[in-house]
Amino acid sequence: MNRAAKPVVLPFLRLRVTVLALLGGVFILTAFTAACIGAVSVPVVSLFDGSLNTQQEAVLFSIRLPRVLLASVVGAALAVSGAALQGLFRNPLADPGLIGIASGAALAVAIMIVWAGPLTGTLGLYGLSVAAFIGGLLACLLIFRLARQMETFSVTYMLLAGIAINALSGAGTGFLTYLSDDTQLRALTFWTMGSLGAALWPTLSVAATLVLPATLLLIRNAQKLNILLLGEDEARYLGINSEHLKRSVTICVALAVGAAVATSGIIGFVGLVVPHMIRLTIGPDHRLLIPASALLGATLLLVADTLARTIVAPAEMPVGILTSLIGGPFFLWLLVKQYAGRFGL
Amino acid sequence: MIEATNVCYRVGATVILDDVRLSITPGTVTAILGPNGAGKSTLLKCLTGALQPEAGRIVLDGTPLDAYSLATLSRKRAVLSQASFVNFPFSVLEIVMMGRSPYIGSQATGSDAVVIREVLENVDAWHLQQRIFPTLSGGEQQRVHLARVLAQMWDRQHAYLFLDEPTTALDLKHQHQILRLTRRIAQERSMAVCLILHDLNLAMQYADRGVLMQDGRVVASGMIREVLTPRNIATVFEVPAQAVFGDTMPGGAPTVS
Repeated sequence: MNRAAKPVVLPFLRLRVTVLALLGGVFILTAFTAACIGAVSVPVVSLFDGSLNTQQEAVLFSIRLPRVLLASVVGAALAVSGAALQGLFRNPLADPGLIGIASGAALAVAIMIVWAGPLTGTLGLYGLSVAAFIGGLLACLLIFRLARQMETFSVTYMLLAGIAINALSGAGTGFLTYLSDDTQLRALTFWTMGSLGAALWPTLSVAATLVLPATLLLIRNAQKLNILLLGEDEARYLGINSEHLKRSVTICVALAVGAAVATSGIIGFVGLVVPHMIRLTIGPDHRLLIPASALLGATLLLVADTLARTIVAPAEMPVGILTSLIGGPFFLWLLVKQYAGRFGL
Repeated sequence: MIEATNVCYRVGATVILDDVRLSITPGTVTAILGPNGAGKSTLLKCLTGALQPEAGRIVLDGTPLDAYSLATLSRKRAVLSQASFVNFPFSVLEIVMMGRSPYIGSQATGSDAVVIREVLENVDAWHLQQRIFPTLSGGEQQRVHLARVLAQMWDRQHAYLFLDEPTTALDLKHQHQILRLTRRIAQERSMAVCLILHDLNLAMQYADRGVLMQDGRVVASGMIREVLTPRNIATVFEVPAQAVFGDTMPGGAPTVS
């Protein structure tokens, strides 16, 4: 039998192009739709034939477009972070919200708001983002420190550590809420519930300049993350410096989550749901999982945010409530499925 | 050739390895033997570079082990760990392909495909190629991991293969098949195979050399028949033993009873 004639190599590249093109197409369609729907409706045709009136133009360019793009960037950041964290912890239940990275970031933002006063403008937003980055990073390091005590990092242990960190950060944020005055209180409430309502061009540029490089770096580390799933020793035997990899992935995740939290507060479950949907359909390979999660995360948060600002219009619902409403049951379903032994807890 | 001299390793106040000396030669199968907690796995981890010994010297092909980069080392030796859980639904092919990662960038080539097919056939797992790894049985998973480790060294000469209890989850047929395979590649590719085994009969049958350990020390080392003497077995394992030389086993290998 001619062995070379029977290729075993998966047609990976073609799959990758097809999936990403498909998800990209859906994302662009969603973005156009989201840009047109709202309190002031903008007909799709007039986007192209230039028949927008001044009001439509103002709404589109200074309110809706930055919001649509911010929702996309934040959605992508959360989904990509979830995918990377699940790889890092070798655990499909990791999520920036569940294990406390987002709440660590939010606590840092709360500290900034209450003690450093209102920060506005691009520089202020970067300040908040850096604070959120540091808060998220500290939460990450705490989890890693706890993980090192154990040989393997079980789901139970990770989630319990997440509960503890969430409780601590929640207590900190609560205490700051108690201390805060009226303006600060309004700002804090916004962060703890998660909303994209503050989207302006500066917000978008801050988020994008942090999230995009972090995502690209994660994509570059995708194959290494695959191998890390075999175990840290195994990755080392295959020539990968797993300490170095863990550090760089953690920093990327903290950056992406920090930017997301600083600009839109805590939006839960996107990081859990999206990578799972991708894994269920096209498998766990991070080279495809990470870019596909970015696109699907962007699309889903965009849909959620569009719903959040239209279903109770003219009022607005915090989008975090909506994602938790969808994500909570999904998480429970995953838990049940996991304990049924599918992934061998 | 790997030469370890005066290797010591401690965790806290507990001495795990005490003044261990051994050498591993290309073309041979060396079995590390000993009761639970004798330090076998720790020794293996020191020899592969996963653990840094507290004292002593490990030299691989004339260069100290810690002078190699991880990338160079990954093309010189491969390691099968005792337990390696994979929680994610990778296919068998994807898992084995990871063994080729020290040689390929992002896309595998035709020669990688040939290697992957050969290793999977050799561990009797080619029929599992499309299966999802976490759904396989323990023995099947162990064979696929072994295929991955073999893929890492398959087209190398004078490479080193470390296997920590490669037969624990395997049925009788596969135990013999896998150990016969290690023996064959040791000879054909002048590979140095170093494995930890608990079954003394298997060791007697397939290993060339033996290293018998107890409480972190090497009690005996040399040709396997000189190491696994009834006397040594009685001292180390605290079980009376008798060597039976006969034609009860294929190849007339001695059995220990």
